[in-house]
Amino acid sequence: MTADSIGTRWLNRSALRTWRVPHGRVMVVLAGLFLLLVIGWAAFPGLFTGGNPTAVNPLATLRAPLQGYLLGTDQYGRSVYTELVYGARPALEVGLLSTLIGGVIGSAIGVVGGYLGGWVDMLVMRLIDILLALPGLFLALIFIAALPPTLENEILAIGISAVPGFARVMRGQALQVRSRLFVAAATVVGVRRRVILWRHVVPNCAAPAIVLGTLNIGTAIVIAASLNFLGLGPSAGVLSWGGLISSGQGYIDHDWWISTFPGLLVTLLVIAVSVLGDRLRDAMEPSSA
Amino acid sequence: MPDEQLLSVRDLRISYRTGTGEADLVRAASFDVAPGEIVCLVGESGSGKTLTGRAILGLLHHNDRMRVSGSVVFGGRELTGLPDRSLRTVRGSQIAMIFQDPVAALDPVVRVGEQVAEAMARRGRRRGRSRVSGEIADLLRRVGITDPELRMRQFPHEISGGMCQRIGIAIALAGDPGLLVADEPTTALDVTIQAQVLDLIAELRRERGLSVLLITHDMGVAARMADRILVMYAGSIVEEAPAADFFVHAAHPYGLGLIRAVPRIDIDRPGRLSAIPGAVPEARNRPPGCAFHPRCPVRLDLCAEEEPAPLRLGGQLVACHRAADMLTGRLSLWDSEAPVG
Repeated sequence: MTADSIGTRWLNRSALRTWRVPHGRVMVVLAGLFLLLVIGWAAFPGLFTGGNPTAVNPLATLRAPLQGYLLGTDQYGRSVYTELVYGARPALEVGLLSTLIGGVIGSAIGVVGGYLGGWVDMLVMRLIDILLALPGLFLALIFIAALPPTLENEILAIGISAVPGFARVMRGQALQVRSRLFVAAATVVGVRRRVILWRHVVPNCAAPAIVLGTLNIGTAIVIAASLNFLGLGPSAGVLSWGGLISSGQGYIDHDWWISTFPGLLVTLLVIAVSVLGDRLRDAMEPSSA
Repeated sequence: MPDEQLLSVRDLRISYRTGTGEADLVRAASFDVAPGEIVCLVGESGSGKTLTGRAILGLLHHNDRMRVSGSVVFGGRELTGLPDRSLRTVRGSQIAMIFQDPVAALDPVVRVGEQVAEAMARRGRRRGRSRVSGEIADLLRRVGITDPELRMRQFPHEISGGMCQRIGIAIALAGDPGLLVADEPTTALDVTIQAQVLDLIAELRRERGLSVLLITHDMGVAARMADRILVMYAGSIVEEAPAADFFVHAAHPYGLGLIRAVPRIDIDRPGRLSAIPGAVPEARNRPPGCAFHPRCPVRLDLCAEEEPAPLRLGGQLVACHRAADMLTGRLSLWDSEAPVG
């Protein structure tokens, strides 16, 4: 046995192994705290900043961070931090509501199709396949371009763009549950198919739907930011992180903070959501862990 | 006499469509179950027993690749080809089924009591909640579950496998069926629980006149329970006999082989425990002639060429070219071979 391999084994045993477990937990705790902070911003923006997000200060335009303003100011002298805080509510609204819409519609299509099978399932899933060929952002873009620019329509468009993903995964889940013995057992005592679908198939499909939903919130927030960056989405009166990134675009070479902080925020939020989603998957679906 | 039969299966054929063609999993199985009778369907794994049981309840026709033909008549009513809507009036209230894996047969996310209630509710009577829960408790007590009020509120993972099978039986009985199809109901249970569950089934037969089609590969279970034995091999019923006759003089070499493969302590049998060499052929590679001939110790050349037709010999119905010789005792099988050292 060489000294090298002893060294590796020692590392494996003490340092790495003891690091790995709490490492995962630390990430989950950090992600949770970060998410709580953003939820706090969304719920009580007034508690986190004294300012008005739309208040312009012509005397303090393009201030760098920490010079009277935590994250600096934009070209109109508005506090970037205040704008981020007030942008949390629409961002989370879009993330949650669009996921709810997409999750419910997509899961319903997938579960019913997968459970009933037959030609309806074939037809619907081929349509879903066509939609799946388009990236979610592009799909949302098509819908939002066709709708009046309001927050509700943005939620709807992003929600619809999540439908095919949910439908595909939940159909697979329903197919798997359908073939399980308890479904046959309920069938042979004469339980109606409708009852089997509601009482047995749907609850047994719930865990993956919840995990997928959690992960989808992050995706929806990114899509929303991307649409807003492109100038699509709610036109007036709604603060958006994507819009903020876009408005700082022209100043990025000198006044980097206007675009960078909202970009960083979206990135961190998506990471936090996916860390929590993964943890949730481990907890709810022990088989796939 | 078919009028007296509760269940009559005629020429049941189950085939499976594969990439290259159709494979017959069950070939022309015909049998009857009389009211109050326990019929055991025995055979090795892969011989088509479970499929036969499921086909009776119409559980196979959702599978696009499976084709079921023939006739299943229950209480004078033809069941094959009935749509789900009509089958629903039969399932549970006339024929019910219990399964090999009692834990998997219960929904893991629904409380046990609710699953029993579901099987009762389908009878369409409107009753008060407390009366329903009282009825569930009575039913659970009937199948030997102690403290039913507690068990009702538990989930399947909180109770033992044996208790899950009792719940399964309770669910099956909820609709007060005339026939219970029991697919290896004790295979997944340990021996003491096995005996209790078998006793329960025998008791229910005595009390309610329940007919049972008991599917098993365990000859000990068959010997204990059966009025009549059906031996299935490679999708065909090769012997049908009253249990008393079968265990004394099985007329098909396969049936005898199954009996001989069971260890006995009550008779002195020298040498090694005999096993039937080889395995059940795959449905696609079914040997010509008698499907059992490659494994048969008393085969003739004829056996490889011509499939034997079922022949009635006394109370026994046997599909074997040598059945007559078997019954006259002129043939001895595996136990005559020198013990393999």
